[in-house]
Amino acid sequence: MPSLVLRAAAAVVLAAGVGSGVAAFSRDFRATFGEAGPTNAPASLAPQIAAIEARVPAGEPLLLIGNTRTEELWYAWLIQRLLYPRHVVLVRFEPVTRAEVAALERRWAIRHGVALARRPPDLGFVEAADLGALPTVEPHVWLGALAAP
Amino acid sequence: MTAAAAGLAATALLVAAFTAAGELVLGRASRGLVSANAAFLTGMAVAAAALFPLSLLARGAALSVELGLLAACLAAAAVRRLRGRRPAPPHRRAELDPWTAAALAGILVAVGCFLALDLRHDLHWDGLVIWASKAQVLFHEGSLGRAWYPDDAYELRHLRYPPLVPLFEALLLCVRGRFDFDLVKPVFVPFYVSLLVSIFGGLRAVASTRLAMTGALLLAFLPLLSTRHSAGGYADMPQAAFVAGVVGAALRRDDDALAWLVGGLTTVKAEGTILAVIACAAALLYRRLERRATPAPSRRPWKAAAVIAGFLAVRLTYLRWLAVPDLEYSAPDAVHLTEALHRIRHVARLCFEAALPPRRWGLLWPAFAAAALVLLRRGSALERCLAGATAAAGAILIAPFLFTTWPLELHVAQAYPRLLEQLAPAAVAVAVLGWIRAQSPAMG
Repeated sequence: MPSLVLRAAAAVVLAAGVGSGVAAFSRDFRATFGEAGPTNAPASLAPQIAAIEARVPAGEPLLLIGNTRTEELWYAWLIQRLLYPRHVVLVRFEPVTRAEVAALERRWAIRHGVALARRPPDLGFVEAADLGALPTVEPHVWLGALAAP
Repeated sequence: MTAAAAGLAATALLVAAFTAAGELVLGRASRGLVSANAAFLTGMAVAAAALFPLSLLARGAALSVELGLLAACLAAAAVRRLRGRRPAPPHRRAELDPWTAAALAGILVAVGCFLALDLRHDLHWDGLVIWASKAQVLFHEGSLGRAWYPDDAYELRHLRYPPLVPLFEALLLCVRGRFDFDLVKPVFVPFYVSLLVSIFGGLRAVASTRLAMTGALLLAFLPLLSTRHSAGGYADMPQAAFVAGVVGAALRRDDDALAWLVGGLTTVKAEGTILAVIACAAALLYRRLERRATPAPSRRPWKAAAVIAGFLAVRLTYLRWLAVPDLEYSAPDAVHLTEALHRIRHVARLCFEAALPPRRWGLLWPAFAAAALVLLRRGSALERCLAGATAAAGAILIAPFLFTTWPLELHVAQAYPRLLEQLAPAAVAVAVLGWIRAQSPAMG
């Protein structure tokens, strides 16, 4: 194959490669430095985690009721990991029944629950406290004692 | 010292320790960046493979034992260096032509951009939910176990993932003294640098510095390797670093490191085991082709086979020991095989389309396809095996999607580009070698 054609083809491949990389860096820089925070736990989540830790004794397992909508799912996993290993957090996604919650309470000796929801779900929460909204999504974080099964 | 600088310093310390361990395993002192890089990957692979047996022997303390062993390797290497210190030979400054210098500058810019993104990016989905979480459990449990966050059968599948990236993250946080998801990211910088060094070193052994640097430049700017998930804590770029290590060692004819690096493929991601088997098949084919051409192929095939078999045995034993069912893929029984057969064309089309978007790949895969054809017709035995193995890997990695329990389109769209990302270093090497071969006579 003529050398000139090969060189031109190589130049096109290289330009396309570097060009796609420059565009990707540019997009990622905008997103990373413009929109995303520098931490995995957004600032508003820290006091919510602190409130849970203040109210629930260390070592006591917790039930977390969440939703599988992408961002809420993310926060459910994130809260579970941020509380580990101080608390073992069992995550369940709606729909969950009171009978299921009661079975988990018995099996794991759970006394407190956290719900990520617009209102505390009707799952046996006693005096659920509103710890404020999750970052960027509508649901709030609710913490409450669970009625004995 | 800022948190980022402290993280990078601790990471550099661990890189030095892995390199020292790799030198011990390979039985040689590193001479230069390329050789040190092979030792770094080797040391890391051995440390990751050793974690499971150590976890059985020293339950709850395997991580501390690994840290102690790595510290001992580092101290021994430092003593060896000090004792064997000789006056440095007169420094010869490498002459770089303007193109090579510009390519090197471009690579350094890309490394700088990756560093900035990596340190600032929060963890993306798998980066947090799988890899750093596995590191968190390892950090607190002290060894690999059957424990995960409790009582979720589906999430137990994360236990099956190999431990190399979580091990590096957990070791870093041991050095830092506490677990914090915000502190794990520096470990991804050495992987990114490593894959560039591997491909440069490999290509430099068979081509000019100029072309080797151009190949590394193309790789450095590949969006999937340098941004998004790679800066978000996923393990695909580290897996690509091991693929690059294998390709680099093969091109440099570094038989000593090659077997350890092929074995190391099994320690990063689940699909690494498939890649290791493909690499073994390519090596066997290469021996066969070489035997026809020259009488003296690889010197120690049995040692290499034993090393790779050891890695595979650890991986398979770990999976058996866990006994966690794979819920992502259906069993290949008669019903699912029939369904898979019906899916082949659709899955192949989806995967083919995933390799095309220029925004994601530039023109890498079309260039790879053209170069692979040239190499298969006109290349040396090594070049033919490299091109064939890369193409075979791209095709074989489609197969799991035939049995996925996920929505098919979603699974292919999310996973296949990341599988191709792992093969990208090999594809870049093939593209450069094919370009060279297209201009030169056939090897016959």
